[in-house]
Amino acid sequence: MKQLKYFFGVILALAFTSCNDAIDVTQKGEIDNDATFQSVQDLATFLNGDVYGRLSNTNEILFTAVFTDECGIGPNNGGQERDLHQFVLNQSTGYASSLWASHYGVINRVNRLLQAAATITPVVNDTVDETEQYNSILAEAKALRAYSYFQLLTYFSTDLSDDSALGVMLFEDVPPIDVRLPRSTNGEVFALIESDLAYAEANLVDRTGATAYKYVSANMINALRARMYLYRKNYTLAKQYAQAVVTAGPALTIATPYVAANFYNETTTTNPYRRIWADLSQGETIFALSRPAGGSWGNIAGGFFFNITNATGGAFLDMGRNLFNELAETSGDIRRLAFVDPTSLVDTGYLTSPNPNTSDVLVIDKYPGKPTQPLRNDLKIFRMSEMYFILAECAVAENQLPVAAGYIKNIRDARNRLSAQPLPVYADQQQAWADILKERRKELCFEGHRYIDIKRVGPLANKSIDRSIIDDIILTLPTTLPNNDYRFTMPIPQDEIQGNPNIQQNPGYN
Amino acid sequence: MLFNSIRLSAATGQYSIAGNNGKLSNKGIEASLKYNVFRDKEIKLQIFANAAYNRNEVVSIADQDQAGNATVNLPGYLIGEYNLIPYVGVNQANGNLLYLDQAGNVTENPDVVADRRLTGKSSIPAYQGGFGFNADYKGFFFNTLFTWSADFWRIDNQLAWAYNPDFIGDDNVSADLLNAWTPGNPTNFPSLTATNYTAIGTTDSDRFLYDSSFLRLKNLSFGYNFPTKFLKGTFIQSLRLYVQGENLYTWTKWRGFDPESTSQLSVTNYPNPKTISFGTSLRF
Repeated sequence: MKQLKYFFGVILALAFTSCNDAIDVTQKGEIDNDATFQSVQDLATFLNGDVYGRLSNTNEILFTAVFTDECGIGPNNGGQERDLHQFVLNQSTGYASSLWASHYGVINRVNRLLQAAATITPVVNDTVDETEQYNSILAEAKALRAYSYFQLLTYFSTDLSDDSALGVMLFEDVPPIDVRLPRSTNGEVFALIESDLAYAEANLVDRTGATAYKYVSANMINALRARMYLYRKNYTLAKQYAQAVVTAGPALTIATPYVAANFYNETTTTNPYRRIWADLSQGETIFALSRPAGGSWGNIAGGFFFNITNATGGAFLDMGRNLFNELAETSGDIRRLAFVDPTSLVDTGYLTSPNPNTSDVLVIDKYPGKPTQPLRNDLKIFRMSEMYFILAECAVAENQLPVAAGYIKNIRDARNRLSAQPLPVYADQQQAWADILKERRKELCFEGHRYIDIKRVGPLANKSIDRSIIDDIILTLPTTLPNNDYRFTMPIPQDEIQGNPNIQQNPGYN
Repeated sequence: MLFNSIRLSAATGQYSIAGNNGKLSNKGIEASLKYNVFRDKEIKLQIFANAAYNRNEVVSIADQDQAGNATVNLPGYLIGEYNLIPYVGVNQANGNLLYLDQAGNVTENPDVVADRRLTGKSSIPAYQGGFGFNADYKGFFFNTLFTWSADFWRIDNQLAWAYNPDFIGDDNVSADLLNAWTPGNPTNFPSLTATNYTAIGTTDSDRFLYDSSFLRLKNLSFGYNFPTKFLKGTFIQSLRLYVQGENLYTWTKWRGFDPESTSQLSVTNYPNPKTISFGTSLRF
């Protein structure tokens, strides 16, 4: 009996012993924060792989190209992007979801990097001093966070020039898994962007060498500031920072020499402007995101083509007819050649063609591909031309129309391979805005500018989306939207709403 | 417990994580019957049938917004219940597609989130069963098995692709497109140039939601067992010749490749093949 009691005692004792080791087990080889971040070198690796590697403006480029007037439906379209091209933009739109997630992914990773950096002390001894490297890593990370926050505001805020308008979710920590943040105001988000950029400027050590422009630099920081203050209509600061970049940065890339025989060769072209797009030279690029041929990276031209960037490469989107007409209107404009593939079928009777979709195929060649990756190119984020446009816009805002005309002439001269261009004459501000908007359209097409440009400058220039009737397959659809249309601000994606009931939707969307 | 995709804010760096977030109940009955009609040495005949009814219901789920999802898990409803905009036909004035909004009004431009409604349908069959017979006569045998499932619905996106007017001239499309609405041919198939064709996707409306119920002749075999007296004196102990077929015939309203699947979409399901095999079975 006694033994039996003892036996039950043991059973009872076992019954109340939980076996936490079965669920709280630490597996061999598990990579947690402590294992990941042990040295300054680990921070550098994380910055390269998980911050630079994540950062992309592909969603912005493709969304803008399809939704505005940069694209027409290509001959091989099997339904790709048809809804967005027909102005169907709602909380289920894929680009809204991926753009939002892409930049919050970067912000989350930067915050992780900063949190980890707080636990790491740079090595300082007789032979090494890591302090500068450590600070510069944090500077680059914060500048990239500022860029991502600014991209989010650009697409999701109703009015960038109003600091009290709704911005986006703001956080500087690594949020818990059940985080449900409401939107902060633009002013609050801009405050973080400004402090990040100030920190970056103070602590950054510019990289050197041929690929330095693929990393954060002092010029990139000022270019971002110039763009940000322009969008916020703070023309004084926009001008100041744009001028700083013009002074310190690369010159505008010129359109000569032009050698027809090698112009389209993706390894031997001698045309300096075309070399930018073939990723052979930095040219006037201030900041680009590297997309090397090796490894698994996004393929930007895969947003327009199934296989390869020519007329038979499975083009499901091609160039909008009106954009092509503008590129072709000036004799010698290098952009007519550089952005349009030579295999294009140009049908001058496109308006009366029974099937313009297949008779008029304007093949987009802004992203001509790399030799072993025909759909892949570096993503150009800031170029010198944009700084000239910013200066021109500031001049118009200050009502110095001849000054603005001078900056536009600078661009047109640089982009023409045959002759210098006449100085434009603007009768009033509206004409000047319209001319700048048009030149921006030609220069910055397929770089993710047109949507925000129409939203910002469209009302001042009395212009909006400008499509040809043949851009869609159905020839009875609207070709533009009024400037006050709610769709010039992106919807907060349904994916966020489902995980975060505290988020506020933009007006016009349910 | 319900192992599920739990929605997160993108601030975490992702939109969802897998985990337990609810409870599911399954209730039903099953019955199986067998009857030997003949049990003689010369003639044997057995008939059999079984049937099962199962109703699942989400009991509880962590609070989350599922508006805008094509399938939802809501307490008191089926798991994976379709949540779709009702498609009601073609606008005879212009050939565009017509839907119902939340208030029950016919519209060409429904809201892709707000105008969805629960359908009471899911891709999991409520009823399933089978029946058949095994017969034996003087060494000949003849066996059959029929299976069936009822009350389950799937989105035939295979058909949606075949109905895509963009594919005309490039890919195989359904002959139904020949009967599309035109001003001179006012049918109930949307116009090939319907201006709202792309606005509502395949998994947004119930246009392609079809009943996948079926009855299938799953297995049929016929053969002959040689009597042992023929084999006496040889090294063979038993010899059997047979012919056997699988998935020989299916009765269904489903137009896709194969109704026998519980996946919500029909594309990328490898269909059950129809096979016929002849065989000899030797033992020695």
